[in-house]
Parts: sequence; C-alpha cells; structure tokens
Amino acid sequence: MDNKTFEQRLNDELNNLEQEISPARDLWPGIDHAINSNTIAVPKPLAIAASVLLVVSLAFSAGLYINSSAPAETSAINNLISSLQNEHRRNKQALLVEYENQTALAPDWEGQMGQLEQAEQAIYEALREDPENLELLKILRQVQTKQIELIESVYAPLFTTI
Amino acid sequence: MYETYKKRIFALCLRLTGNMAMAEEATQEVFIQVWRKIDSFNGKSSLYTWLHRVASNTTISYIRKQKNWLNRVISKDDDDDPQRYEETWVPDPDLSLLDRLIMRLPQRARLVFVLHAVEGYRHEDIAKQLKTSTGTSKAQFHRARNLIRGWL
Repeated sequence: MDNKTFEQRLNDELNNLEQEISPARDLWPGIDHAINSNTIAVPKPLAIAASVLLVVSLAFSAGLYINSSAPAETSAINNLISSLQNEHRRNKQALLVEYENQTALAPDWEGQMGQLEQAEQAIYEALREDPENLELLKILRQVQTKQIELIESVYAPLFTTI
Repeated sequence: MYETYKKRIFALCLRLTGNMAMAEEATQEVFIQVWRKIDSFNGKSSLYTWLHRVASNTTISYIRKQKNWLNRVISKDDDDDPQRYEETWVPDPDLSLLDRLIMRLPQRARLVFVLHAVEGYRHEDIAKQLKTSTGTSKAQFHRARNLIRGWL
C-alpha cells in the first residue's frame, strides 16, 4: 500500500470510528459504592463566618456562564445538581444521626442552620432556572459545606475552652 | 452525567487501555474522580472538555498502576515486544476494524496514537500527560502508524 492510499484509508477509518461504545455491564453500582463510602468524610470545622444574605445576593448577581451548552450537557448538569443536593442531604442526615445523643454546644445553632437552609433552597431554585451558572453551583456547594461545618462545630469542635 | 457520557468515556478508556476489563475499571475510576473533583470545574471549557481531560489523565494513571503491578508480578516489561501482542490478541468482532487494530498496538504506541490521531491532542500535550518528551511521543506515533499500515 503506497503512502497516499494508506493516508486516505487511515483517515477514512478514523472518521468512521464510533464516538460511543457501550460497556458490557452496568458500571454504576461500583461507582455509587465508591462515592458513598467516602462521602461521610466531613470538611474541617471552621467558624460560621459567611453571611447568608451576602451568599444569596452573590448567588443572584453571579455572572459566570458556560458558553452555549448542548441540551445533553444542560441535562447532565441538571442531573449533577440534583445528585449533589441528594448527596448533601444524605450526608447531613447521617451526621445528625451520629450526634443525636450528644448535647449541642451552641443552643441557637438551629436558627443558623435554618438560615443556611433557606439560602441553600434559594440558590437551588435559581440553579434549576439557570443550570449553566457555575457561580451559583459553587455557592451552593459552599452553603452546603457551611451546614456540615456548623453541625461539626456545635457537636464536635476542634478546640474546647477549659 | 454518568448516563449522558458513560459510552463516550468508555470508548476513550477502551482505546487507551486496549482491554475490556481494564476499560470498565478505568471508566468507574473516571467517574469517581469526576465526583471528587467537580469543584475544580471552573467553566472556562465545556463540561465535556473538562470531563475528557479528567478521563484521559485518570486512565493513564490507572494504566501506570496496573503496569507497575504487572511488572512486579512478571518482572518484565513486554511493551517493546509486539510479538507478545500477536500471540495474546483476541479480536472483538463488535469493534470497528481500526478499533481492533488499536487494541492490538503495544501500550505506549497505542496511548500516543489514540491521544493524537483519535482525540486530537498535540504531541506537546501528550508528552506532558505521559511524562515523556515530544520526540518520544512523535516516535511512538510513527511506530503505531507503521504497525497499523502493516496490518491493514
């Protein structure tokens, strides 16, 4: 086969390659197991410093967007947002169950949690309307992390005062 | 995201690993890494471009780990012995002709061929990903082409 014929043949074969190939088995159970066995690892406890109002206003004024995503990609991002939300709820519930027999060090923590949950819900609803707004996605993750940190800080603080 | 992209990512993993079982494990590892690294997605590229980069890096790391393990077990690097591939290679009738030939390539030549010819990466980028030189990447690409030419 001469060079020109080979080049043409190779290009034809490359152009005809399938973009998608199906795995022979369902790979999701293994992924799901690996993700869920690691998600109880909680971020380091920090003081709750973020203002919920600031977070919400940032959320609505944020302006970073992905350029013209395809519908499949938008759908994938929507699924991702739902997965993140579900995962966060499971983690938070698991933590609350873990600490249910302990006394909270800050009696007003539920009020703070309520504010964070309101912010989370507002950001979540904004994201459902505008799933390609990455800044909103980041802020949602920050607010969710703050909730976990709040639970940790009132039930398992790093330092206790004598 | 998994449902949308699993077949595309599996195709990439299969071509890079050259092995169905390894491709399945690598695909799982890719989506686990995606879950862990989603915070690092900054929106400068499309979601799929970011996912593709995570997938190729994760699969290359996966192959390295497997290779290290194999080397410890059999104490031999067979990558430069195409004859070994001739002996063990079993064609998958469901794959296209070129995919079957890609599966048949020695590992390093296959990685470079897939990343450059199929996925469109530049040799400079491939060299960084594979921790080698641009010249080596080009040499492996020509080696792959010559092998495929002989098989066509």
